[in-house]
Amino acid sequence: MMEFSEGKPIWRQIYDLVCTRILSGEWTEQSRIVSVRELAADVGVNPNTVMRSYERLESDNIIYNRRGIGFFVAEGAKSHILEIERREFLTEELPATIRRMRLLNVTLDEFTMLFREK
Amino acid sequence: MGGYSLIRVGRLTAKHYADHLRRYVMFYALMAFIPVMFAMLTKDIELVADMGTFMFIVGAFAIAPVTMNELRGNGTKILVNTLPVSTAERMTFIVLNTSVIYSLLAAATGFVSLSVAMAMPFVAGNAGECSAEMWHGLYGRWELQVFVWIISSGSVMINAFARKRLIESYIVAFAVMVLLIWGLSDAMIRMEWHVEWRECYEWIAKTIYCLVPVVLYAAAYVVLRRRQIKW
Amino acid sequence: MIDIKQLTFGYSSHRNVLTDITLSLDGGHIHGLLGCNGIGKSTLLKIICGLMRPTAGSVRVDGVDPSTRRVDLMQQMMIIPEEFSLPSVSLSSYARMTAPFYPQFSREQMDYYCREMMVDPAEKLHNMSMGQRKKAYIAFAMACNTRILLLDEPTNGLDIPSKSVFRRLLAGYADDDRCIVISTHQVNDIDSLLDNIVILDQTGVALSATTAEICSRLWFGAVDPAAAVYTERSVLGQIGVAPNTSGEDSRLDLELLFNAVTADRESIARLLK
Repeated sequence: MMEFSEGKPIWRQIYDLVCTRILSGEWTEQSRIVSVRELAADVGVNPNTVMRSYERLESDNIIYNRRGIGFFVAEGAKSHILEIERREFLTEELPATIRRMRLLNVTLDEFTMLFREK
Repeated sequence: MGGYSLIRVGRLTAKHYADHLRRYVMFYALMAFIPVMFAMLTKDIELVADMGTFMFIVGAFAIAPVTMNELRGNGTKILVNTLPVSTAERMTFIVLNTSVIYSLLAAATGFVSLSVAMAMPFVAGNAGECSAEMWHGLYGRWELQVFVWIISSGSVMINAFARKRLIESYIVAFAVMVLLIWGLSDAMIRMEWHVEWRECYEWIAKTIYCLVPVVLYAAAYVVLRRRQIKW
Repeated sequence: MIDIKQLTFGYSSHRNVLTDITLSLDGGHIHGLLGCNGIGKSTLLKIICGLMRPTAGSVRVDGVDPSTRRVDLMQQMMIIPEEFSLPSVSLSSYARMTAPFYPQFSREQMDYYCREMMVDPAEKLHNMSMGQRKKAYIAFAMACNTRILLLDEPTNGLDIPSKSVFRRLLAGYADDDRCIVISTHQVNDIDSLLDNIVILDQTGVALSATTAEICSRLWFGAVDPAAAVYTERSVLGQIGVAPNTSGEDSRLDLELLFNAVTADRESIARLLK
C-alpha cells in the first residue's frame, strides 16, 4: 500500500515505483506488467494519473505498449533506468551534495577517505 | 428504457412494506385491537362491527402519511427519493396503497378483530350475525368505500402539499371540510327546492360523489410532479 | 456527462445558495468538488440528482434534465449522501429489495466490496457503527455500477485503514465511461484520486481545472515570496503557490490551492488561462 510522500507529483512516484520493480527484477524484461487499471486499483490512484506515468515510461523507452494486450518491460529497460538515474544524480543530486559539502567545509580528502571505505 | 412499468410498481410496494414493516404491523394491529377492546369493555360483540367501520374511516386519515413517509425527512430520505422510479409509478403505488390495499387489509383486520372477540368467553352475541353485518358494513355499502377513499385521497393531497406542518394542515383541512358541509347543508335548508331537485338528479350526485377521489388523486399527482423535495 | 449552465438555486425566494454556476463534469474523470461549509456543495449534488429544480439556469445529465425523473437516467445515477437513513435490516435484505431497481447491480461485486471493507452483509445495519454502516452502503452503491457516482463526504466516519481501502476500491471503479464526483473537505483523504478540481465560492465557480493543468501552471511548496501568488507559514517555513517556471511538476497540494483561491481567485484564474 502506497502512502504518498510530499514533494513529488503522484505520477512521478508511480513512475519511480515501476522503475523500482524493474530494477529489483520483480518485473523482468519482455514480460507483461500490470495494466493501468490494475495498478490504479492496487495503490488507490486515479487511472488517468497512472496512464500519464505509463505514457512517460513509454516515451522514456522503459516500457512499450502492445495494442490489445498490455504494457511490457522494454528490452534493456534496466540499464536504461540506471542510465536515467545516473544522469539525474550527476546533474541534480551530486551538485547539491557538493554545495552542502562546501557549506559544511568538508574537504576533498575526507570525502575520498569515505568513498574508499564504502 | 424509461416509461412506465407495473412490475416496478410492484417492486416499489414490496420494498416499501419491507422498509416499513414494523409501522404497518403496528398500524393494523391497533386497528384490530381497538374494536376488540371495546367489545371486552362492553361485553357486546356487536360493537366490534361498528367499531370496525369506525376504525376503517379513521385509518383512512393515517394511511396517507405512512405511505408518503419519504416526502418528509429532513434530508435523510435521499436514498428512497433517488430510487429509479418515475413519479407516475410512485403515484400508482400511493393510490393503490391508500385505496385498494388499504380496504383489503382493513377488511382482513376487521375479521381478525371479530375472530378474537368471538374467542373471548365473556363476550356475548351472535357471531354469525355479526360477521354478516361487518361484511355488509365494509363492502355492502359502496358509499362507505367511496367515502373512505375520499378521505384517503384528500389525505394524500394534503401530504403532497404540506411536507412539514402536517398536523396543522390536517386541522385546517378538517376545519374547511366542516365549514363546507355546514355551509352546504345550510344552503340546502334555505333553498327548499333542492329537495325536489335531488330526486331528478340523483345519478349526477352519485357520479360526482364517485369522481371526488379520482379528482383528488389526480390533483395530488399534479402537485407531486411540480413540487420538489426541497431540503 | 453533467452540464451545468448558469445555475442559480435558493431554498427561499430571497436568498440564493448557489449563484450562476457554470460547470462541465465529463466522464472518465474523478472530480473533486471543494468549497467552504455552507457554500452549497451538497445542494449542487442534490440538484444533479434531480431532487431539486434550479431557480434559474439549467442542469443536463447526458443531455437530460434530471428533475424530469426519467427512470433510465436515474438507473445510471447513484448518490452516497453524507447522512442517510437505512431500514433496520441487514445489507443482504436491503440489497435484495433495492437492487432490482438498478439493472447493473452485481451481487458478487457487493460481496467483494464488503469483504475488502470488512463489513458483514448479514449483520443488521442498525447494529453497526456509523462508519460500518457507511461502508456497507458504499459497498451496495458501488455494486450498482451506475455511470454516475456522486459522493458527499465519503470518508467522513471511516477509520484510517478503511479510507485506504475505499481509495483503492474507488480507483478500481473509475472508467472511461463513468463520472465520479466527490464533494469533500477532507482533501488529504482522496487527493490521489482526483484528476479534476472544482472549487466553489460565493461568486460561483472559483476554479475548474484538471490536476495536469494546475500542476503545469502552478508550483506548490517552497516558493520565492516575491514571485508567489500566495504564501502561508508552515512547519517548514514559508510555503505557497507560485507560477511554475520550471519544466517540472510539483506535488499538487490541495489545501494550499484552496487557500490560495480563497485569498486571490483572480490571480490563480489568470495563471491557469
